[in-house]
Amino acid sequence: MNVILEAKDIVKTYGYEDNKIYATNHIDLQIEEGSFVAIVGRSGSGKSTLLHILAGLVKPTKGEVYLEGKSLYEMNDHTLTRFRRRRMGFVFQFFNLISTQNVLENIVLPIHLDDGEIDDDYLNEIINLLGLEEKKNSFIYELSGGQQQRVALARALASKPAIIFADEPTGNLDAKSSKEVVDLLKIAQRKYHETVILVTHDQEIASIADRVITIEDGKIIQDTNHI
Amino acid sequence: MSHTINMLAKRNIQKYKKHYLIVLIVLLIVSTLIFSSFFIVDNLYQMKKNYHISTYGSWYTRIENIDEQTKKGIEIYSKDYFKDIIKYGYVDFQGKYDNYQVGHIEKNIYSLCRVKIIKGRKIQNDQEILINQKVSKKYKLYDQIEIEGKNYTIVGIIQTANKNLPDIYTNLETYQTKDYYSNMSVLSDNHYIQFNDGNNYQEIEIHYDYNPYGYDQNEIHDQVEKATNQLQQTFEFIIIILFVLFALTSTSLKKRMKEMALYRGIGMTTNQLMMMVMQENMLISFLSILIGLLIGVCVSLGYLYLQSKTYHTFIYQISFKETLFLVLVLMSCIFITILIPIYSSSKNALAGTFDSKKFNYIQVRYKKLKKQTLASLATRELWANKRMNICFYVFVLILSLYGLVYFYQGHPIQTKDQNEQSQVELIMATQKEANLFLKEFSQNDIIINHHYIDEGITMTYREIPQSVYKLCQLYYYQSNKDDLKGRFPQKSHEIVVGNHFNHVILSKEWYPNLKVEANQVTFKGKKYRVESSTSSHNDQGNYLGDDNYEIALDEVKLNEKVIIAGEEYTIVGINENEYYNDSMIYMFEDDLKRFNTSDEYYSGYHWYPIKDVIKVEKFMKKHYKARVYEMVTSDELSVSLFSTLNIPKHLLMLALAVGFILMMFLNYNHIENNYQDYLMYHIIGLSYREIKIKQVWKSIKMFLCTLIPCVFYELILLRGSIDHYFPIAQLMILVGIIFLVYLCVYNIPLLIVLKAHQNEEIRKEDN
Repeated sequence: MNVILEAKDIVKTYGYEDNKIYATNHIDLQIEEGSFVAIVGRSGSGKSTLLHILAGLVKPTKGEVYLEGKSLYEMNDHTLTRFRRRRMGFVFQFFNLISTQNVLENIVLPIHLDDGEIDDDYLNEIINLLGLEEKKNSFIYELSGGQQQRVALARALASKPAIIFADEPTGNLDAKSSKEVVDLLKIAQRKYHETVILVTHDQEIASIADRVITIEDGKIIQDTNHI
Repeated sequence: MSHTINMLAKRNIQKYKKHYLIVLIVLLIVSTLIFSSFFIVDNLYQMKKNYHISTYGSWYTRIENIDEQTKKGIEIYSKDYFKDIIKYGYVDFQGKYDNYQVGHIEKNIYSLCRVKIIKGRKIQNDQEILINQKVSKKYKLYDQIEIEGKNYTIVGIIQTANKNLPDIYTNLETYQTKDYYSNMSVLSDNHYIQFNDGNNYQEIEIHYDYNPYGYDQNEIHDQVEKATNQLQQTFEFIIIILFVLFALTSTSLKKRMKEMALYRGIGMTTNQLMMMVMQENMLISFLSILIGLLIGVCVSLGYLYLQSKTYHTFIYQISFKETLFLVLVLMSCIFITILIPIYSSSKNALAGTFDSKKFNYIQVRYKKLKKQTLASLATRELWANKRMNICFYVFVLILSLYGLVYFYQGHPIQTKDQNEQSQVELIMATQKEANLFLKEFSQNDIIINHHYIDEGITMTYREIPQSVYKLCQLYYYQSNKDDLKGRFPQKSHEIVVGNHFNHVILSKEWYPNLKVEANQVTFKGKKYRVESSTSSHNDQGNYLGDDNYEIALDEVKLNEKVIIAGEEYTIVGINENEYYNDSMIYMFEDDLKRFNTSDEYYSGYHWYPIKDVIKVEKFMKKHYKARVYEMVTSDELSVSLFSTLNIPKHLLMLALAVGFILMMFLNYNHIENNYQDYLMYHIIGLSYREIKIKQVWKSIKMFLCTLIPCVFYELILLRGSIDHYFPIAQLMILVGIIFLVYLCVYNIPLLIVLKAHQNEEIRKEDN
């Protein structure tokens, strides 16, 4: 399979001299197209930082990230933003949705921002898939936590991105909702051949991934392929 | 896409309605103030002018303007220009025809003189005349009338701007011959011109006092001043808004950081984000300016309506162009101010949220960790919220510096140009001192007046009570003996007076029923022309009208009686060469002794550059008992730092009050949002008392930061001054106020928040 995302020698440090802390310590990583990758690790192990770096949200101290062969950190901010909204989808733990918009508006926002065309069939499909058809016109505060994460997932899928980044998407949910969200992520990956990178500290959730990368002190200590 | 941004912006306004409501109110208050003052200043000026013109037939007394048609300037005061005045001005010949006033007019200045032809045409030759509506009741157009033995044809009927203008006009240009102008001399200031027409000397009275043109002599100057004042006021208001707006926007955006990061995360570019937030703010700004404009119109309308009762005239005109310009200026100022916080927040939204660990890690530098005290915690907290605190600081600092300068107002060290001249006046000096003064500061233009001064002596002249201005020993009569009409007093109770002794000041205070119309006073059944009048103003500086009228009674006659302080004196001599209107009374020394006068005093004055005034004053104080008075008044002085920003006191107080309340509010908001931090301090071991002390430390540190530049500025002021003037009490009050402001701003909100949340905790425990 093709490599869709490649990270080369990623270093992110905070602090100076003696107090220097490596959030990621010389990480090399290749992620294949259509795979479901879970990054696990304890709190403060650097897993979220790694995800943010991979997604182009945080600039690393050193190293390069290539998505579909393009170097993220060689792009300027504007190009990177455009690239991000077209080729990447995001599901975060908190502050996921725009509270002033209803469900449908939230989902199509990245497309609107990009002046893009909306594929109605596709949109209906994912809304049905995620069980949001009845909540389409609801506002965010009317939704439960699980429903909110489903909306976030729908938004991530709406622009048909190459890769979806999920940063502890279940962190704020109860066990049932968590499973639901992760299952939906898995379904989306299968159905639309999306690449999914999921950061979690929950081993159980990680177990449904094709590949589990374990991080500790900014280094990959284990990389298991379940396929 | 822009549609999406628009929609997002509108929804955000709803979401953050509390914040935007505050912004709206702040902008509303300030824009209301700006617009109402803008409209009031403009129209009140016109109202005053109209009132004056309708009451006195003139707006100020001198003319200096440009005729719209000929573009010829009219000037007065200088002898050389009189020629032109006669040519272009209006000259009253004091001629009378059938009880009508006859005047002359130059054909090019009709519009300037506000002479409007309503029937017929302009004069074309010296056989033709114009008449006004009053005369037209008796004569018709093309009638022939004879004036001073010459026949004229009426060619036009005119309407004039005020009652003081003549009724009949002949052609000035053809009527006057060139000889008229060649031998002119000025008799007194600018009232009379003597000219030689070849045979006789004649006097022409030029009515400069009653400006027929209805123009303000310095209209252009006044308009510039008015515009500058308006601009200043507007500028001051705008500065206030900008500070407030900057602080408000910064704190609000800081709170929205995570949301903004999310927008960026899902694909909004920095520009799109900026556009969205900018749209929200500009929409609110525009709305509040618009409402402010409407309220400003209402407020100014109301104010002017009330004022119209004083001025018996109501004017309300709004210049569309100026208003539009003001709105645009306001909008662009607001735009520029909020651009900075919006730009930085939009740009740093991503890094600030996702990369925020940076902050946590930097703090953990154990080796270099200092011991934390309440004071250092305070500094750290101030620094953590630096945007808001810097705004507070700048605001208080500017007001403090202004306050500092304010105490110096009226003192010579504040003068912009130290080379400006100031008067040093010697008052009540002895003869010895006066001679010293002359010797030390000998100048040609120094004048020494020898006279007795005693205020409060009243006299009755022609049954009119007056106060006596100057009594003097006959010995000091200095004028030429040829100027003396009559003789010198030979015995007690005989006096010499000046030729202006017949000038009487009628005050409305003494004569409330005084009838004044069109520059004439009816007094004791007789009409007098008002020689000069003084206007009075109320405490707010509003013009109340003229109420002191100086009139000239019939000429002073020899052997008239005057009762001075109850005793009768006879006028035996009149000094015909008296310069001043308040005439001197010369009498024998023995007579003078009856009055409660002190020793013989001298006075004199000389102009010095301001930089020397204090030196001279000190010298005088050292060597003379005499009081030395220098003429520097606060009106003539400008404050060096804020010379272009001369904020009136009430405005300063307003700014202080608004700013103070806002600072309290902003800080309350900040503490309320971060109250968990404060509770956390409590949990980890700070008592509430210590938390409060920590907050007091904040006030102290801010206070010290403000004080240091103030002290420097004070030193600069003192260094630049000749006299080391140091108003200690006032400065201490200022310092106290600064500290109190900080103390309140940092502590009162904390107390409120702590009280509210302490109760919350107790409630939880109860549950």
